[in-house]
Amino acid sequence: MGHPISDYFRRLVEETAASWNRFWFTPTDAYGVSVLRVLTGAAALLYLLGWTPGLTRWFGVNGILPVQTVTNVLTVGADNGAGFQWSYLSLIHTNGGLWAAHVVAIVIAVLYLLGVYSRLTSVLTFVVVLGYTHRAPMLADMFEPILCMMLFYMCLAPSGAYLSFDSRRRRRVKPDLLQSPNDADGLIKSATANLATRLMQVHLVGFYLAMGLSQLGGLDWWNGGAMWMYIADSDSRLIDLTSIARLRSGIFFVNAWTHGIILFELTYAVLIWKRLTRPLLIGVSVFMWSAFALVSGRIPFSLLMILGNAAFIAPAAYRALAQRFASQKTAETTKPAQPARQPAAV
Amino acid sequence: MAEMSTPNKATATADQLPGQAFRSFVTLFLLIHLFCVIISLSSVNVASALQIKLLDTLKPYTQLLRIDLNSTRYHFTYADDHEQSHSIEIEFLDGPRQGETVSLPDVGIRGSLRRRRFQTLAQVMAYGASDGNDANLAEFAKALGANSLQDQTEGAVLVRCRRHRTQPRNLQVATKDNPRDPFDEAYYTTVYEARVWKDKSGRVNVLKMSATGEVAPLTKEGAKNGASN
Repeated sequence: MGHPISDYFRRLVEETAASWNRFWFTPTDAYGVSVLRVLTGAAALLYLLGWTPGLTRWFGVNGILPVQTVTNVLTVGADNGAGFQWSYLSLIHTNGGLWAAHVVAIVIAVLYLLGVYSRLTSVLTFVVVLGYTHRAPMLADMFEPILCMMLFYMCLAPSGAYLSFDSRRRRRVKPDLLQSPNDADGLIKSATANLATRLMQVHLVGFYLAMGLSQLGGLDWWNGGAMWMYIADSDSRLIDLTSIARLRSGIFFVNAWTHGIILFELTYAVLIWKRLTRPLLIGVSVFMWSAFALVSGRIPFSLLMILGNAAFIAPAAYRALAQRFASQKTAETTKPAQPARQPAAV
Repeated sequence: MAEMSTPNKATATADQLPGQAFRSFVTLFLLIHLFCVIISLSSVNVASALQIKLLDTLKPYTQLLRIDLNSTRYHFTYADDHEQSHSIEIEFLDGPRQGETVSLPDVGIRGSLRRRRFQTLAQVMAYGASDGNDANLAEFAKALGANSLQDQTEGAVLVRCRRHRTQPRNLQVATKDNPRDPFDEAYYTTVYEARVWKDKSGRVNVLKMSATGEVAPLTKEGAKNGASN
């Protein structure tokens, strides 16, 4: 009796440890995280550029949210808690200083996007974006936590391995090596690339579960009316679908959309791990978030959720896409020149 | 397409994996980090006493890295009153802009983060009004008023948070309470109103006029005359 039980636990520990190692530590092609760097860099840059028109209006000397107001609200507010939402922007007390810091922040994000000293600029971009979200945490929406999550994990990855100035520089220094490959296939493989991708995948699935499960706690998500709140929100929506309310079956459309969102979110969290269902879920995700963006006006958040799918696409798929693009380009440039038009015979 | 980097069991041999020390260290980090993530994500809406305690303990890490979701509405909507669309109105009571009313958001295209920030601030104020969080509301009203009066040496404004109720689903029957025009005044209610004034010394003061469920203690004229003083 003692033997089978101890054998079971020994096997359980061994196989769990092996699966754990395989899941988190198997070195993977760094091309995937390089693509993610470009995507998250673009998102971070857009986020920072979005602050440009209203920078001093919000954070300036006579701004809507001066440092003291934010501190008071965070200290007094029972919900928010206080103390660890540190922002370097809170140390700047002049409009000129604020603009200088903003320009530096944008330059850092551009460098990260282009892959210049990616190891350093990835961390700096994360710090910069955190600085803005922590400066006024009450203004943060669903967009900011997801962007911060993605940028944090990109700090762990060799995101400048490809599609970057870093890789070009490496090729110049070591022209005999294509990209300093460390694998027999000629690829740069890295355990931290896998680690960062896995963390992003797990955390994103966590967000989907949090959305789906918390929606199940709301009556309007059960009676199918939740999406009407967005359809009828005339201040934010980009398209007006209220005319469907006049249709006899309009209510069914709203109900189906509401139930479909929860079904999709919970299904995504489970089936995105399955190779067979993954492409389908990614396709549905693009459709679902695009439709949500149009009806709710939450474009940045919806785009980020679509972008999150990139963490589930294999580096090989990105390579195939890039090669296809490159070969098309080559074919276009090497296309034989059209013969010169002969003058018409008289 | 969309094939994931699922490690192949056959190819993931021990010699491909990083060293034992690295894996042990990272595993420890992963366990702590994922625990923080799970606690933050699972307590986004409702949290048990244990979760609240854990969130408080893990705050130095989760808040610093923005893992803490801080009551972000990932449920999208529960159709509560304070989840309706809100805006902020600033009405100038005197000075060169007397009688002018500015409605925020006054900038940004629909769907932009720039516009959304004003809507989020208005929503935070509406939530504070329904919660009776007067201290925070006064802070926001004061800051909004001071921002509006920055070009004046003294003056007064009314800061209002207005709720824009969504139209009901049954739009076939237009009633007095639910007209066809979504921007009809019938759909708007003031959930919070405060008078903010700047005195000669440049000090900005605030006085709550009304909040959700309360009757305004002062008339606009009274406020204009500085009845609080």
